Amino acid sequence: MEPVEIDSGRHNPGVDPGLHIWGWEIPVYLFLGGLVAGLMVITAMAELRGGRPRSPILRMAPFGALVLLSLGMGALFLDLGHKLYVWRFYMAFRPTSPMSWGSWILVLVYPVGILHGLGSISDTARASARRRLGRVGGWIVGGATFADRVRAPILWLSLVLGAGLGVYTGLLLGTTPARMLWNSAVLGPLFLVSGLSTGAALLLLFPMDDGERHQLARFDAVAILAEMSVLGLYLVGLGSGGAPQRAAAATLLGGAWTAPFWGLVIVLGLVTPLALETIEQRLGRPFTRLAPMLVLIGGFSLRAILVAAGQDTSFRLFP
Amino acid sequence: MSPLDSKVPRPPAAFWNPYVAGVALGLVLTATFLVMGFGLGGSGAANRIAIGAAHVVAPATVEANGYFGSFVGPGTRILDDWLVFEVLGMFLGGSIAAYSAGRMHLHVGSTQGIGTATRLAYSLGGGILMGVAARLARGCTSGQALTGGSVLSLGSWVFMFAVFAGGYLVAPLVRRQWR
Amino acid sequence: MIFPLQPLGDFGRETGLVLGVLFGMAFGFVLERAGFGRASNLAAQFYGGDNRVLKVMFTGIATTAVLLGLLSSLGMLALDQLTVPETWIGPQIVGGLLLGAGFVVAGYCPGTGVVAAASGSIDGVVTYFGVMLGTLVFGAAWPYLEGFYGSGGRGSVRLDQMLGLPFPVVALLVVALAVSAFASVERLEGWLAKRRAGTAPDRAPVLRNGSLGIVGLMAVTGVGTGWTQPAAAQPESHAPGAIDAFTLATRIVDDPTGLWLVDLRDPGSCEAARIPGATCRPADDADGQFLADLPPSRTLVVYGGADLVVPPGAERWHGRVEVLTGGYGAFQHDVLAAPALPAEPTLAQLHDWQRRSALQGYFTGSTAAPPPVAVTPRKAPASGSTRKGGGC
Repeated sequence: MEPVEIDSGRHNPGVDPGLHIWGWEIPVYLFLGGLVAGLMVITAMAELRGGRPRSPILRMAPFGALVLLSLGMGALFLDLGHKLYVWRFYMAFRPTSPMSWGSWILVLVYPVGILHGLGSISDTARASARRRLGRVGGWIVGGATFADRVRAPILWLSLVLGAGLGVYTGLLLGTTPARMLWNSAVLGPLFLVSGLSTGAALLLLFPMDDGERHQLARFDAVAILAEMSVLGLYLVGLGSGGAPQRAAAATLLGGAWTAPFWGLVIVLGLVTPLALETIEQRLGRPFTRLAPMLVLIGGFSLRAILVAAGQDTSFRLFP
Repeated sequence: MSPLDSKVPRPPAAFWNPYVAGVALGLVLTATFLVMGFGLGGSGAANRIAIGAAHVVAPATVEANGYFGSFVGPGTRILDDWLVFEVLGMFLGGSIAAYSAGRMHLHVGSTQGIGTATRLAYSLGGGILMGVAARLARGCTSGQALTGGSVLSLGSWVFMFAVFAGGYLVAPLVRRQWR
Repeated sequence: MIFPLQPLGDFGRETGLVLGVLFGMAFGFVLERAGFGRASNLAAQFYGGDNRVLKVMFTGIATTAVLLGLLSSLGMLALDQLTVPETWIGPQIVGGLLLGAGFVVAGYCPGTGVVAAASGSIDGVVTYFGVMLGTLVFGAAWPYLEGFYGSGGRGSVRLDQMLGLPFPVVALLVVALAVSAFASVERLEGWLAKRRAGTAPDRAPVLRNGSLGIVGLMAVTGVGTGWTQPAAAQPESHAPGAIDAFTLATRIVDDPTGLWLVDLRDPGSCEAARIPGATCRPADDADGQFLADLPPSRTLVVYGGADLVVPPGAERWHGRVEVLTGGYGAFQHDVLAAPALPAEPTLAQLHDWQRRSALQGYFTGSTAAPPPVAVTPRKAPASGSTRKGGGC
């Protein structure tokens, strides 16, 4: 038998470009972005449906969202290769690029969030701000009065921008369609519902008016169910695609990332909190913070696993 | 207040009858044996988590250690292990059981005779003893006594009697804690 | 034999890990409902007044042993494929004593510490953290403990093998032992309750008798079934089988994933040429010790250069072992070399030659020669016997 020599250019490290280029920064940014989207949508929707929130945490949530968004953008900034050129994002707008949409949404979120937050300040807090903070207090109260006047449009803007931000965090991964695991249009809705669920979970960790907590916990349960359905669609979509898509789906259905995905995202992050929330409502057990904590862990795991596993999958069938 | 909140919370559910609980435990363990070919464990995850954490802090020391060295090294993912996932499940299943039974609340248990600080010191000390013991015996009450006992392993039965002996011997010394 | 399914070998390691989460959930749920998330319930065992730990654990052990025995009697479970924790007498006695001491001090064992933590108990969290620290203490003391840790090893020893009794019979003995232990501790509980002017734990005789009755009934059924069907109760034979090169080649073609094929010649010759699909042995493992770690879900076929004695590693292995008769030489001769067709073949010889040519073509890469169409039995073919395999 003659030996067979197989020549492959793949031994040259420059042929297949570095694929694992996203570390912890991107999952953190996606997670915080989703949280912010959830907080904006939830607070705006709650007020549009049920009037001014009673719980202080709901009134502070718009400002909290801005803090989280700034942290997330800090993580994103750390990931940038050319930090000095970040301004170039804002020298152009490409309607076909999710990254371009995202960078503009991020900019718009700040003024809308500030007005949303100012309008949410309670009357007593406004009075004490005027008393204690002097001129700054005057500005705050002025801003709040202005925000009150444009309250309805601001709430709608918050709702739309929040939803856009949530969808964008999913589409951001889709900008690299060569990573087969990210090559799915369902990722946008998936990250949006996951953001809604983690946003509700974050709020549930704080002390809250009982009625509002019940509504929020129910909302969270619905969001978890929606997230399960969308995840199902996502996996079915990948699994019924071409060979590269099926190979990508296999990393979550038997392949290297199966156990973390099903263990941390599905069982820990979705099934268990849903069970706990159902028990709370059916059996009337006192509220537990474990359920929202698990939702938050699951939400972060979803993004971390999709980012890491996605970088393992590509068009190439034989890595 | 919504009408839901005015509901008086039900009292905690009673514990299961020990014999019924024993049969249920046996069914779970049997199912594990039938599907996996091996049984359940409790301390293996602690072992791996501890070694993994130590490896992050001091990689060289851990890799040089005769016992830890076999767990870490290039190409090994120490938490990628059946027992780690099983213990994660134990936590989740235990929390569902405790919550549905109305026993879930943040607390330090059994502080009557001795106070919170002493109780936690006892927990830590007892835990350290058990950590050493479980490595020496290659398993704890779950992995050795229960699992090994069920497949009639000689060493597991020896271990089980030793556990009861050790417990009864030391019990009089810590009697105050359990008054 | 249906069980064990062993997904870590069969349906993939990752699936097995996901199942681990699910089995763990069931385990944690039962432990919590059994009352094992409360230190006071657990520690009470060592003061005699409430023997919940003994009752739950012993019933659990008896139930499992009985069910495993029954299923093996029914021929559904291969007992010798179950992992049996190894016996190390000295370390296990000392470890057991230490663990018992830690148990009564902490109020939890490691597993129940997790369940306690799940119900919000900080002492449970601290206990499990302590167990982790204990691991590090053990590692730090390893140079002093290593000798003792490795002493008294006796491998996987089961009580039934030691006593020379069938597994279901020993399971029945465990049930008897458990029932008598329960009777004693219930009497003790009653006596202590009177002496301490307290109340004994709730008896619930219906639940107790019902649970133990069902377990006892299954135990007796297991013994009875094993007795009436002694063949089924016998553990699967470990005597290695023999397989000839032609059969092996057919099986490699038909069912490539049903075999572990291991080349036990020196790694050099194995690297140079081996049966397709075979694994070479590690250079430093002449005894084939690595074989014992293969999942026993497939048939293990080993071969050497010529006939081979089964290596120690394959004897420790739990599944079916077969040795290739004649080793690699026979495979070369019977499969890789072009088969010769007798000058005046019978129909059976012709069919045999066709099969062998097809196999030779499969393994050498040459396409099988078309069967000589014109041939009728008892008449020499025009060509065919002169055909040589092309090689690759």
